[in-house]
Amino acid sequence: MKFSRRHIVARLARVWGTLRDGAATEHGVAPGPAGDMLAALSDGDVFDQFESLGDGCEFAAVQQLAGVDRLGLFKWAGVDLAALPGLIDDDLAGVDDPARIVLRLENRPSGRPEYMIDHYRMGCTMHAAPSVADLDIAEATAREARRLTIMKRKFQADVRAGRRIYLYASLAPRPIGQIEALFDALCRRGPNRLLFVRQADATLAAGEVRLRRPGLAEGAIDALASYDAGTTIRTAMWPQLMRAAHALLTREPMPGPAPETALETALETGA
Amino acid sequence: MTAALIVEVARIVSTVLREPVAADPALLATDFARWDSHATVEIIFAIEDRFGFEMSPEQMERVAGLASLIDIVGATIGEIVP
Repeated sequence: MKFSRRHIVARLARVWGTLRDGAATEHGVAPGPAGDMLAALSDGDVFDQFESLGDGCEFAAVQQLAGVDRLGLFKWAGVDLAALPGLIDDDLAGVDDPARIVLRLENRPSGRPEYMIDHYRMGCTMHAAPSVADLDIAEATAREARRLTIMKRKFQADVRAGRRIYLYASLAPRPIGQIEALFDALCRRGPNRLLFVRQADATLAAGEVRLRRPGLAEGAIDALASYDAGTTIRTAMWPQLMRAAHALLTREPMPGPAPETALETALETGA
Repeated sequence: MTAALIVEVARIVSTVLREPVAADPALLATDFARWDSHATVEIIFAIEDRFGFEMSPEQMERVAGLASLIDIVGATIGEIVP
């Protein structure tokens, strides 16, 4: 759903209050031209740089709240973190194969039934775009396969160009090795960046972001949506966290692709 | 751009959104409650089917309203004859 500008502004004011004005300085964004430029970015501008890879829908809902609603293959999906590096290494082969997706009707908390996709290539359940009122299940399945083809094409191009800052947020604890494997897979495709968002603990306080490697940051937040209510945003800390992460990740040079991918890219482009 | 192209793009968007859409290039996705990212994909389908080309990821990224759609179609296939 898309909100009107007036609605967005009203919701932002109510939900986030004054947090965004103080966020950059609280998290050490350097004063001077870079800090000024970041301070001038709206929350929407900052959120617009990121794209969710999972493991739920919360960040996509947060982006919508900030007026950002770009195409994103994984943003409404709960993809298994362990499966993501392999999917990326395989250049998403099979994600748009109609034989690998099964649509089913599910009653949602809104009271309206919705098509959900059990995706056997991506190993996840995701929301389907067509409404139950518009298409029967066979038509909706064909439409979803085509939608996945478009989203796949776009993801492939974006990841080669390093156009987005990818985000993986998880309520469940994740071994950092799995996050690093995801980052490595992204970097084998192009000059990408990744932000891992997790629950705060004794090692990383809520609102803090730290760089683990060039291009890979880890941030902590006070509350993440539960898995059974993935679009219910439970914190006002997102703008603060995203500003800090954006500052940290855009301050560093872009990590390059692995040598064989760089060679492949050069051969493809004739550079 | 021709008026015919503007009218045709507005018609396509109107069909997807299921609401009247004026042939006004200044209209943005944010002007329509139903024009979210799902609707953008549906509009891309409809544009590709009607004009017979495959939109590039860079073009998809630019879709933000009628003007961008008209620019993309016009630059890709040229003008249309009403």
